[in-house]
Amino acid sequence: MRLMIMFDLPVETSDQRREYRKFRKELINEGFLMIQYSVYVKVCVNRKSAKFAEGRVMSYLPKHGLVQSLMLTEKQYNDMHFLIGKPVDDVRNSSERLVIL
Amino acid sequence: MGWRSVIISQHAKMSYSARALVVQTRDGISQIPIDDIDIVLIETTQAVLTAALISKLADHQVKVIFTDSSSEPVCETVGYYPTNRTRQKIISQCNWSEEKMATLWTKIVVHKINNQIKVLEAMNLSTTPLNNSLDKLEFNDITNQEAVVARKYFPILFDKGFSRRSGSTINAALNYGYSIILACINQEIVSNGYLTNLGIHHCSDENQFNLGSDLMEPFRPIVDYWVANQKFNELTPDVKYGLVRLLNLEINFNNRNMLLRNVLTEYVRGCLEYLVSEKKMIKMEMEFINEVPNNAINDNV
Repeated sequence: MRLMIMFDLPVETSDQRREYRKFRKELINEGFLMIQYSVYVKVCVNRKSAKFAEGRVMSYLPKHGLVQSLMLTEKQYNDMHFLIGKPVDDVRNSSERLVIL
Repeated sequence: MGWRSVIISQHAKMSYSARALVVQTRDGISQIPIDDIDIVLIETTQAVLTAALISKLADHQVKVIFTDSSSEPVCETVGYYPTNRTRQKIISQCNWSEEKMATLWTKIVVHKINNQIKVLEAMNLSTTPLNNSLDKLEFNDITNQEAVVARKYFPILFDKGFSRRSGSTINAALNYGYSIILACINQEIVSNGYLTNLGIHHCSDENQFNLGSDLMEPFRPIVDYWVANQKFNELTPDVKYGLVRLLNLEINFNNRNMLLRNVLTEYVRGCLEYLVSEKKMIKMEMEFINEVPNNAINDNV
């Protein structure tokens, strides 16, 4: 399973920018990977843990703006077409259970 | 609960940042969230770890296994304070009933021998010498049929002159696979809050992992089976990765298809519950699955 978080946050005032920085940092700490600007993805073992991860995100949402989440199966995510550009090459973007570095 | 096994196979610096393990190698920097990690196997002596990382890994009950220069596993980290180790649990462990321990040990031996027979059957080899032993098995395995079977089983599986005591490549591979499984079992025992030292059958003073050595017995044949199916002249990295990959092998446990790593979790929890509770029965039915499961394609996520 993959949990995708997409957001658009206002960055007019310095308070809003601070909110955005805090939210983004929290996402990264939570193990999310940026696959393009303001689209973040995390690999979860099953639907239950994806729901749990979503609940975690709910606990540190910013006050304003737009944050959307989407759960995808591994197959759906891997069927994504890259019309231009390449997928992010990162361990966090693979669902391999065995990582050899 | 982690699900990734990380193997460090080259010169690396490992540190901690943003709740993730950061590995710097020649190929670049990789970050893996610690929550996702189950085991870190350091396959090289050229790795540097920071103290912050080790303490965080211990916090998350992640096993770190170190190897020596010949890349044999030599030691593993064991957390001091699992979240749920209580005085009560340790007292109960010292006072597990003799009868229950004996019953569990008998059951473990039965399943070990059964699995060894299944391995020989899967390899189309003769199983008759082993079948007699299964009939001779007594309560608590007083006649030590486990050893009798092992002495017959290994020569049938590998070759006539095979001995587990020799320093052959096959033994090295077997030991490697066993130590990975033992580490996982120890991890489960500790995260259930029990001590690994006090076993139900093994009672060596030198062995810190008596209980782990007891509980892992039924799973040894899985390693044997994998090794018997491989052709190799030395313990190459590919063989080792294959042995670690065994943790993602799907087997049927108590009529459910599960990954071996999750089977170990459920099995250890079941055994420990049986020892402390009023339960009269413990189930640990195992079947090997021979066809390729359809989720093997995307690595079971």
